[in-house]
Amino acid sequence: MSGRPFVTEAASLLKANEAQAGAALRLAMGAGVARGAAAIPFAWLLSDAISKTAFGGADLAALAPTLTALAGLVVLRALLSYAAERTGFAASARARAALFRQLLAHVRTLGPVRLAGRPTGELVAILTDAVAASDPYWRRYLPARAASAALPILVLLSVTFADWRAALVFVVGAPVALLFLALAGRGAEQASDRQWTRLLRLGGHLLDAVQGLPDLKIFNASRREIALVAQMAEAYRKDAMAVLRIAFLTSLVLEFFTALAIALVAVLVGFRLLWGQLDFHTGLFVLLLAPEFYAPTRALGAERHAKMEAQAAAEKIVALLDRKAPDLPALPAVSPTGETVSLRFEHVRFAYDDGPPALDDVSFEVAAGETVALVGPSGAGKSTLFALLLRFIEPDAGQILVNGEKLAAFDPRDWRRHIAHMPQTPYFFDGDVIENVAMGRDAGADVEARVARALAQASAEKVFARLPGGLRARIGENGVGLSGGEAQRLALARAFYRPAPLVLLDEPTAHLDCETEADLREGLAQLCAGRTALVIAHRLATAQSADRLIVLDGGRVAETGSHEALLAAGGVYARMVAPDLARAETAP
Amino acid sequence: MTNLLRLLALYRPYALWIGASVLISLASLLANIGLIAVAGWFITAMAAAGLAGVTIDYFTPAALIRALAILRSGGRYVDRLISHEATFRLMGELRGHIFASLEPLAPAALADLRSGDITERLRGDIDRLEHVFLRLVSPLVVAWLVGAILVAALARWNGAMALAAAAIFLLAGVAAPALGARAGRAPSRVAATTSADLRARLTDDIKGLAPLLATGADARHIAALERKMDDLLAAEAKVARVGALGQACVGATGELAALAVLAFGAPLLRAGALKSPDLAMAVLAALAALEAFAPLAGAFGGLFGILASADRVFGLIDRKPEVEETARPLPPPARFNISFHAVSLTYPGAARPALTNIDLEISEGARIAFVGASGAGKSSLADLLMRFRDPSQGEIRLGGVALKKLSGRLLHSRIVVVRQNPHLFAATVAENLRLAKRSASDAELWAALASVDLEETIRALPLGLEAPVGAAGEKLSGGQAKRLGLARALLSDAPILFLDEPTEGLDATTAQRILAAVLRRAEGRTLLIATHRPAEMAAMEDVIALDGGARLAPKPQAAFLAPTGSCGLQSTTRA
Repeated sequence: MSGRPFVTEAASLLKANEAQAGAALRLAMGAGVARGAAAIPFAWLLSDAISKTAFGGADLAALAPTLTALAGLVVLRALLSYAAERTGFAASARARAALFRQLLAHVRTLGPVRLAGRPTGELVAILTDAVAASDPYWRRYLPARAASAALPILVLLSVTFADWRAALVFVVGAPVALLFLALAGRGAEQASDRQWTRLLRLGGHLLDAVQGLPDLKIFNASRREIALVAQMAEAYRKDAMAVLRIAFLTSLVLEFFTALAIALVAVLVGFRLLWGQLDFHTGLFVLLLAPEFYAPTRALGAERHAKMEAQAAAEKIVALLDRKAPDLPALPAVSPTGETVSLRFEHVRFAYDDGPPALDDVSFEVAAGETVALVGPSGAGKSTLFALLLRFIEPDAGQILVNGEKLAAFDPRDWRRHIAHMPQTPYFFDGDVIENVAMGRDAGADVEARVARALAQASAEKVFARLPGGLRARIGENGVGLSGGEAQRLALARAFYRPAPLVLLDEPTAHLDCETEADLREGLAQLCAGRTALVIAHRLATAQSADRLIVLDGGRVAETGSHEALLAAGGVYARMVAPDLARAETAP
Repeated sequence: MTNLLRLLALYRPYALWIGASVLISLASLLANIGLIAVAGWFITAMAAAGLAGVTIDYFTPAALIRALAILRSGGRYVDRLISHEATFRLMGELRGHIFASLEPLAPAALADLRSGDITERLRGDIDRLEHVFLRLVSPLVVAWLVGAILVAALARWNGAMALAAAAIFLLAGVAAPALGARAGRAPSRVAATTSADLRARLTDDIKGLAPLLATGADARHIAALERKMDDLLAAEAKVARVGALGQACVGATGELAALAVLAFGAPLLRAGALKSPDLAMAVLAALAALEAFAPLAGAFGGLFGILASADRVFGLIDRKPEVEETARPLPPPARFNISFHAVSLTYPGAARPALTNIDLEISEGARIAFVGASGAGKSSLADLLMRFRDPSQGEIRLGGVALKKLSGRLLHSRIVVVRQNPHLFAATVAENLRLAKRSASDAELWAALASVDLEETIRALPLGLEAPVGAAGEKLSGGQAKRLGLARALLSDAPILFLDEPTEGLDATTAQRILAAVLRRAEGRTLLIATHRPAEMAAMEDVIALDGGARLAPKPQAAFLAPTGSCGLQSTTRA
């Protein structure tokens, strides 16, 4: 089976987190075994009491001590049951919290570019559902496994001690039952794995469909999507039932062997009692223990399903954890502390998973304090260049130097503090304007004033004056209630909030009308002044305002130089801007 | 609670399945109790016969024991199959039904919900609802029936003994679950909302990973998420405590009932009112009753978690759409000219209107550019045309017929809007394109891709048209995703196209090429473009300027092409 190596990795992931569950897990196992073991003296005392009543003519007074002891055992078992449940939960909570933290950190290490191909819903499902699905493993499966290992032996020893012939009846069915369990277990593992994949896909698909509802409506395609969702739900049901059918089958086998044991013991004990070979007390004791012999295995059988779900979930977790993360320096160099940053790209190459190189043998230099515009057709590698500088990805070949030091040697988190970045499609968190501008950076008492200043610099103060609640207005998922231009200005304010020595701007004036753009240009100049700035330019004006242009084409540096020099050269750039220039000349 | 009843009412089509499942479950439980009880009776009778030296008919009880053993194992299996099958079918239907009911709500009536939240209702909450029958209703009904039958059986011998057993069964079957449900109510609610909150925050977090990492706001986010997770676990711990308490109490049911029967039975036996095999049978039956009550322990701690899920699911179904679809739509108008009559729009909770008193006449085949600062109301016009919202005042007509009187399907077949950020589905390039025209041939798809300058890019992909675009088009660059959205719209046959900033973010050359292709493909159709680009304004017949939601006085088109600001191209003339 191709998934085999994963299963063992998933198992080792669960094992690794067992350490996190720690003492709580051992307590849960101990309490569970003790509770089960207490059934043995209970059976002994109960059969003693019945025997005395039925054949000894004992009255209530004579029974009182035994009944009191029995009642004591009932209370003890209840207490142990409570303790086992509580400690079991504590074990699971600890292990899950550790797993969640590990995954959260890993998502960070992978970064947004590497995760781009995964639907957000699927990732969220791994961090929530997959982690939650591991709960029964620690809480129920491991304690049940301990009980199923210890209790049948204890029961068997007690029965052997009382009447070894009856013990033989107990043992006879056991190997057959175990064989059935093992067989059923294998099929269940595969089915459960398939169901999990489907569950994750269902989650991802639903999120996708919900987010795409407006576009579905626009194209009159919602009916098809509704049918598709119904289809996925149906497939999910079939898989779930396939898993359950196998789980039910294993429990059927165990139920059958329990019933068989009871029936056989009853007949064996009955005849030996009839022939006077056994005393009633012992006979009844053995009968009472007959269901107890298989009970722990039955309980484990019920939890096996939980274990397989946990394992299938763990596989998804492992698959995420296994995604290649960059080798980060163990002892990162200290990022440049100076006010200025110079950049040098040396033969940098980068390709996304299976595609052609997005950047190929790219070399250029940016001096400290220089403003450089990146120009090129869409898909030329401009955004990839930013992703490399942001350390969302690392070069496949070549290197980037910052102030002459290797960028790869810095700690990414620390390095990013030197960057103010504005992406092409800004994302806003579910929170108010202040939170979305300050992003938790150096938030002090004066945060409101500082945000207001950043908004003013981004010519965005008017935008938020009109929102009810002003700076405290909530701007939800994807900046609901903001137009494209407003979102752009807000993202710019984010960059203004804490100016950093390296400024990365992805066409800052996109979505802006002429007057706002004019307002903004001043602010931009201010943001870039004295800093090193890389600006992805789609508009001519943006390109012109740069000190120098780097023209990218097909992942390579086609040419560099000033606007005028490039026009004169008549290369890629001159051809690109020709239509705009022509229009400018014909305009009245 | 009413939602619980609504949920149970949904089971009506499955009444037969449900009835059968309860009966089979009851039979298999009774067989289980009977097996132990008869076995107890049998060995006691055999022992008594052995002591007395008399013969005994042991064939009947031995056969009974075998029959009960088979009934017990088989019954449980069949019951589980039936009850799960019925429940899963119902949940599958519910999921489809709810998604279908979302369609009229989107996007206006869902604007306040995060998409992660909606998804969680569709998936996790519905999954939790399956427990209502499997873990709640069915075990409860069966436990009560088993308890009643046992009490009735004991009552044949002695009223007091039956009463004692009844009291214990009532504690386990009624009092403990009720108390458990009460105690579990608050923490379950907290757990459910915390879980939904965690999920929504994670969705937000992962979507916004880039700005989080870039700004260094990450550490705070991680801390907040870990705190949420700890909150969730703390709430779950409280639910678990209630569950553990219930488990401990209910787990003692069988043992307590057995002791009670024994204590009441001993004097009866001495008095000769009860035979020893019967006493053994009664005690063992009481002991085995645990099997019926044990499932109740866990169920009730989670009751309110299930109720919260039911509230969230029905809360979604019960939402009212922002626009009412007319029950009796008028026949499709022959013409497709558009007119706005004094149209105003104010978003709920907004301080100022998004559109004020707009009058517009757009004749068939017109080409109009809408210009204005961001927030001027261009995108709101598109929303109104799509009837994602209705005007607060005024009326919009298509071919002389009010939009309100046309069916949504008709409207969407006449007008196609490309929004600023069109959604691409996690499907292939071809599937995303065919959304607009199902029957489109590959050649048509390539032609549409060529008109947005994407043909080469897609041909370069190993899978070509069948290449997946990733979630929300993340495998494509921002500009490519936008162009794919545009290509999709160009494929449709709708006579009216509204493109909201179609070439924003593209370089001038590409934008120019795309504009030319769009103009070619829009031949004979009405073309409306919201834009900041002078080149696009110049290509239109008319330019309509909006400011703060109001239409500005008409200006000669040339005025827009030579703006006074630093914007656009006039600064290039310095060269």
